[in-house]
Amino acid sequence: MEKFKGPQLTIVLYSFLFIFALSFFYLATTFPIPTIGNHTLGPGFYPSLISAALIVLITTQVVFDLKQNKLFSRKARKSFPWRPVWMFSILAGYAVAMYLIGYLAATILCFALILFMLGIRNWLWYLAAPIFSYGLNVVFADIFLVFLPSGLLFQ
Amino acid sequence: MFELLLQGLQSTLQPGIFLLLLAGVTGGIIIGSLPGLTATMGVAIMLPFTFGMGPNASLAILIGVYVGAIYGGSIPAILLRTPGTPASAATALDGHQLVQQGHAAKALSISVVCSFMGGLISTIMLITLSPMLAGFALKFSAPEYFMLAVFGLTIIGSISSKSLVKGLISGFIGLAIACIGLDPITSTPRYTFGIMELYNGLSIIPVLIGLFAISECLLQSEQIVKEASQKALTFSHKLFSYPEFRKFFPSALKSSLMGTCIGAVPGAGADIAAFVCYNEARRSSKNPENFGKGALEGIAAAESGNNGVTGGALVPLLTLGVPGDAVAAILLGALTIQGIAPGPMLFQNSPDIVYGLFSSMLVANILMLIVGLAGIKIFCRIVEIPKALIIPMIALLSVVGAYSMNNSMFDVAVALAFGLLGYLLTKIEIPLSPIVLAVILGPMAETNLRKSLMMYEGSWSFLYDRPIVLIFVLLSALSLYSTWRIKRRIQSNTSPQLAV
Repeated sequence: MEKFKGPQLTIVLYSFLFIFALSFFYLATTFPIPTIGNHTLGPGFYPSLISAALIVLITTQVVFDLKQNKLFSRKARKSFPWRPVWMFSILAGYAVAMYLIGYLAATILCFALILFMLGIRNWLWYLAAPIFSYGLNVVFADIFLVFLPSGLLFQ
Repeated sequence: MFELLLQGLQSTLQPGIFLLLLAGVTGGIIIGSLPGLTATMGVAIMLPFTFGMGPNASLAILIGVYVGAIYGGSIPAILLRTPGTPASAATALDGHQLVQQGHAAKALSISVVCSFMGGLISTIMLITLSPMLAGFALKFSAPEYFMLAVFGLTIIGSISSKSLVKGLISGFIGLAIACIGLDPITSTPRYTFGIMELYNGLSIIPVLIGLFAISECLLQSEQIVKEASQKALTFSHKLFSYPEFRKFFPSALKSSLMGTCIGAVPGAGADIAAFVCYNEARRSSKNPENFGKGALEGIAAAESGNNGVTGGALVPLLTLGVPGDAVAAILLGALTIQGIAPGPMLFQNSPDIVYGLFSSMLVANILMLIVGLAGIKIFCRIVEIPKALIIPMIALLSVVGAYSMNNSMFDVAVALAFGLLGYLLTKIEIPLSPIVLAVILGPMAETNLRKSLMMYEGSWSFLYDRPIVLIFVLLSALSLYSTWRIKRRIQSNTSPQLAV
């Protein structure tokens, strides 16, 4: 079976960080310059200092990795890591579901979904979903008076 | 003074007030242990309940919640690597490592004993040295605050275990994130892109939850293979031993004193104190290479440091009427509601209230120790829950915790975004703790650097003109030098092993 060889994560992430730092620096230069006092100490002074340092540091790290031949060495994996993708999608969906159908229903549903995604097939484990959801609601709403969303659709 | 303190203790030990204090401490521990609920929020939630109470009862419950919540934050930080409050982020560095090695009870017992030490020492210092500490804190101006922040940031070197450059990249990402929001001097919107929620900058709680809790859930979900292998960690019920206590005691003592002094400086809270004390403990340790791998002194320093702030933060409040941190500001409100004006005359006009508060702090710390030690076995049960069950709990609690801070879905989105960022950065071995440290210290560093440069008309001479600044410059240089030495020592120790 052919092993998965995706794009090298290090290159992708360093490129992303580099673009982030460059954009950060560029935006810092667009901030208005103060008309009174020291002109160099405006709102862009500190962010441009920070982003310039970040650009230098990322470049240094890339040079280090190139020297040690780490940047282009690929670690082949058995398969693409789908579980974190699923986990993140469920959590993002949970936030939306909590907003739409309310905390209780969304929590029970997403708890069960995560258990299923993690490969749990014993139904007894799924009993934890309503217990956890209800218990947490009691702690937040009844004790600490922090009310969790009741759901846009049920208002 | 002792007579007044005894009178205060008599008042605190009345059954009604004592029970309120116990309820406050227990409630505070629960609040602190829930990600998203901070000590400030806990005290703020309790404030309306105190309106009908007398001043001593009112202060007792608020102090109880404050002391309990600062300690409570360490429980999920140690057991789940999810700091309950920003003040316990430094505790997670070594605490969770110790849990991974099967010593959950030991980590929790060190945490509660050192929290007690920090709280007790800071209370004693509050009682005896209040006026002197207030005088010291008053000498702090923009240059001193700036260098305090820089000194705190030097810890980035020591918490970047593998690569200093990667640690610095992480730290500067945090400093950049801290720039988001209104400019602190001119109120110009920066990097807000018209989004109203960004005008106040990113809240630390969702950032913390995302980086530590959500990213951990993403990583753990990848590592879980099949149902049969999803066994919980086994751990020893043993608390720390006497030789171990002797080992971490000096570090806890020093951090308690440092935490009190940092707490006395208005604006420098428990989160900053914990990181500064952790860094100092690592710098002065004989075995700095053990830090980040479950060092007992690491937990001791962070916990005694953050609890040391509880007494220190009350120094400017009681002596000058200036709240040292957000909780002290709420306590100021509580005192005002009771018709008491804090300030230099408070000690003369209302000594019963002042000493009632001191004795409440003493008793609250003792109660925290008792409740904390008694609860260790119950808290440890969390570690026994199988991973496949704990992952959804942490993940969903993280989302709820991020929401509950401001009842804001935007905060949930921030937590998720930082969860993803944390996951990806971990994949390329960039440490996450420097981001948190920089987000906490960034605004303090920027505001005070610019104020200092304005004060000195663009000149950097404030770095050597002012004695306290000079001390911080030397301490920062010492911290960097010792980090460099420690790294060299670790490299020279590991190189021969690698060669084998």
